[in-house]
Amino acid sequence: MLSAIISRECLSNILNLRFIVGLVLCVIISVACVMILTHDYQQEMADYNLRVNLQDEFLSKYAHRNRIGGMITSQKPPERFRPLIIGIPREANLGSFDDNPLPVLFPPLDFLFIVTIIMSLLAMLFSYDAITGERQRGTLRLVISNSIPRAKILLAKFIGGTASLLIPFILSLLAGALYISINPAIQWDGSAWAEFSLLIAASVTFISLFYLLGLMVSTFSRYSSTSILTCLFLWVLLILVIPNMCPFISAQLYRIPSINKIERQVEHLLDTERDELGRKFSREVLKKFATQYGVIYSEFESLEFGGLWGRCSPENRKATQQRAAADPEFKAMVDAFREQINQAWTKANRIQREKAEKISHDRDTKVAAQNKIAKNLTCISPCANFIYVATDLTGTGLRSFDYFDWLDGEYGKMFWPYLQRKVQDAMKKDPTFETNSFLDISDRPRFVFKEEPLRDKLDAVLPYWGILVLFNVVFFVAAFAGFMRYDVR
Amino acid sequence: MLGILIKKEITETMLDLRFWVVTALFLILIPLGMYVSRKDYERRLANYQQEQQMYRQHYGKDVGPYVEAQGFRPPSLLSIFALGLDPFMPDKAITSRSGLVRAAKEPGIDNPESLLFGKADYLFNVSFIVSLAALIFTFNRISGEREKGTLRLMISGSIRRGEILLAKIVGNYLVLLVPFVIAFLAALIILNASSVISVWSSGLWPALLVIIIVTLLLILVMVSLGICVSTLTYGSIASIMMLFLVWIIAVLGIPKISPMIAEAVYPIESRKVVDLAARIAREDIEGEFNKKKEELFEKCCTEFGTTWEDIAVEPRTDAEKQAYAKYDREVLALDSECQKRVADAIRKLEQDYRNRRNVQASLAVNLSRISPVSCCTYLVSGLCGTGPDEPDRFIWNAERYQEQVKAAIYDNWVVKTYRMGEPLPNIRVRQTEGFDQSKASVPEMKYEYTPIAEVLRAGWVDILLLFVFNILFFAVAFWRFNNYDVR
Repeated sequence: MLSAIISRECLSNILNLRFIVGLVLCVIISVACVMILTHDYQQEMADYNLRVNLQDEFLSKYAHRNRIGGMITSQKPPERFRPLIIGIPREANLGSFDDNPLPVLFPPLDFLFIVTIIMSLLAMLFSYDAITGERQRGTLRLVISNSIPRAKILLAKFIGGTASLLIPFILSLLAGALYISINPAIQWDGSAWAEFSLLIAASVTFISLFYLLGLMVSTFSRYSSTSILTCLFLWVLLILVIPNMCPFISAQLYRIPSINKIERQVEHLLDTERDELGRKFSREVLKKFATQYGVIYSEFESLEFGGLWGRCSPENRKATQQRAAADPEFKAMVDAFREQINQAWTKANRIQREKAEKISHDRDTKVAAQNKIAKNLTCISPCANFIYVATDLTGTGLRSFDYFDWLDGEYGKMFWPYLQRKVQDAMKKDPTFETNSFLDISDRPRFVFKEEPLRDKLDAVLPYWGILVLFNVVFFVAAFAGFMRYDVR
Repeated sequence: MLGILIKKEITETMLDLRFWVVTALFLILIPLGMYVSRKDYERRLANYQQEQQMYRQHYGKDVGPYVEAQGFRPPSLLSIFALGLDPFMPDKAITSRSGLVRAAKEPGIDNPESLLFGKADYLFNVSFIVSLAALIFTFNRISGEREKGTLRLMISGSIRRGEILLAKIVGNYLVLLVPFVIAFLAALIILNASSVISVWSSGLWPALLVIIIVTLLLILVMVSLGICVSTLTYGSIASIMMLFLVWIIAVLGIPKISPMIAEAVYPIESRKVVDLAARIAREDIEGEFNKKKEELFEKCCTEFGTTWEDIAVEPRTDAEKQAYAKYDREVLALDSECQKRVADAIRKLEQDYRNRRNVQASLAVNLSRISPVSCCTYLVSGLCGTGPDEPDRFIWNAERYQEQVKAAIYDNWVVKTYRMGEPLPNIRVRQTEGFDQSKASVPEMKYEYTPIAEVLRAGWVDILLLFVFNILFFAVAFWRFNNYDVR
């Protein structure tokens, strides 16, 4: 009997205008989206390769010691799921404001839009009159009068309705997946296809949730017009209002110092305060050397310390070099002086960096707390949960920023010691090597972007997926409760 | 008769559940959105004031020859209504002695979650919620009456179809305005409660008035569209499906897909690539000229019996003074040619990029104007100083600031570079006569947003299109209703 009711539900939905509209909309928009986003992906990949090449070219010609830090920025390739999900632009906070501004005003269409807006609306339009429509037509009391358990009817409506709803969705996804698989510019490996399958599973959970919501509203309404209005009201709240408002509300509930203020504090610590501390330590070194070396120190001082501390004229710098070459004792003092001044500045840098890191760490902790509040608030909306699942699974969400920063940090642990060694080697070969000198770093370690392991992503998304499943259960139980008491006359 | 029909429509609509649902939605969303936007603006304004104060405190007196003066962009007061491009716009302009000003944005975002979900401002509420509400109000006004059987009774009473249609549009429009106006007034009260914003200020009122007019025009367009949808179908189910299709396409689909189509049809490289290319071009040209200047200096030194390694920074002998004097005379031409070539190379790259970007943006904008929501978005965001033209406006402000700093600081220093890099740099800097470094300070950037008149001049197409959409939807509805089977 269950299968009979399910097939009846499927058939009546498929023969309805709704199905045709949904099918046409899904297939056209999905295929158009995938084609356009794939094209964008190819453009972004070409852009990324160009940036990497230009960076290499710049470093091969202008890798002066004081410029390397500014040029060694790790470049992130476009996400492999970019043909499906746009996500957040990496440079959202760096103001590539001179690019086309329209995608900022109207966030583009992608897979997330298709699922969260189109499919959710379609699901509600399929289900809002599942009970009320049958009651108004008079068929519901005929079905009930045949001693079919209400639970079975409800379950059959849910399965049949969701199955017919998923037909256009799966068809459009298959078309999109086919386009991606035959495109030579997109190379998806096993893990990418596994993520894609999980994405489809999450989408099915989300779509069935909204079908159940419509079904639930239908069991609490007498008329289809009331049901559709309630459904649309809830849809606006859950899809448009709650996700958009919650981040701003959480910012008001849990205030944190602005990132600008913290940046200024850190800048002050690492700049002005650091300089003052460095000068203080350096003066201690000067006092110590004055006591220790006496006359030759005075000579060194009259030569403006050869430029190793404070300003120095070119003549004095040259004279220092000549004196060091002629007098081994003088040279030993200069070398010791250089080392101790470097140590003084290293110590000043370390102390100030620790202070700056503490402030940044405090802020990061507060930001994490605020983000947690925002996430917890937005979890009221199934849309937000699905977006977290989809974006974190595909590496296109906020989590991917943290992962990229971590990868960048790991690369830094390889690169900066390498640079330090290179500078020391260069200074050994040429004592006059200084900040404006060119450094050949063509053999440097290169940044290679690796995708986050699927296991880690799954660990992160399971709680939100669990909430979606919970919503499904709650709506079904509520629909069951509503239908058990429903007056079918 | 028209008056009676309008009254009937008003009464019927106000007794409908839809009216109360929409009223509840408006009364919750519009004031709440305004509150959230107001708080966000206050935070941005406080950040701006803090930044400026800290800068002036620490660097306000730094008027050296190589100073990179910073001019800060204040948040637009009207960005409370439409956040638009504001989160992505640069926070400051940084000048340089070379004449090229650059834009900079503070790193990090205070609220990254908002990037995942979007905005909650007035423009969002109007584009999505109010437009949907207008369609919900009206989608079955014709088809629903036909199903109930009242439509044929009206027609049989010799009432003109045109009058019925007009009454439906006017009646539903007036009813929809009631919750909107109440919610909007509540929002203005919330706005005025802020200590930093006055709704009555002259900076706010004129633009606010135009925004209200544009919104009312959009609501009328959506009501006409809803009635038009209703005349295209014979039943409520079909009407609701058609409504769904129309809303998705008009409000969500067309505005979003237009930039994507424009990017696919006319792709351009990103800003970052252009910046990198400009940097390399500059380094190449400056490297070439630095070499020429060093050769010139060597030649001048040799001519007067000295060498460039031995010559002092401050000339002591007559020969050294003559060498410097000759170099000073001849290097001017090289300096000016170098600056010209750098400026030309960068300007060419920038101009090429901007031209292509403008073509792409123009294509996207024109495609998206098929949707009335796009027209409203361009107008409102333009009036709020957060529209698509603001990046160019920022550049105009930044260039003006560069000129200001050049006149106040850079032109008061004379910098001569005799030798760069190895073995030792030889650069002389002196102040011009009459310039007192101790009394000078870094000028402030007086940022000007696009004036309303200019926005309206640029946006006349959008205003015209909103009127055209009204007429078009009414015309289609009229034509369709005249052939409508009322049985």
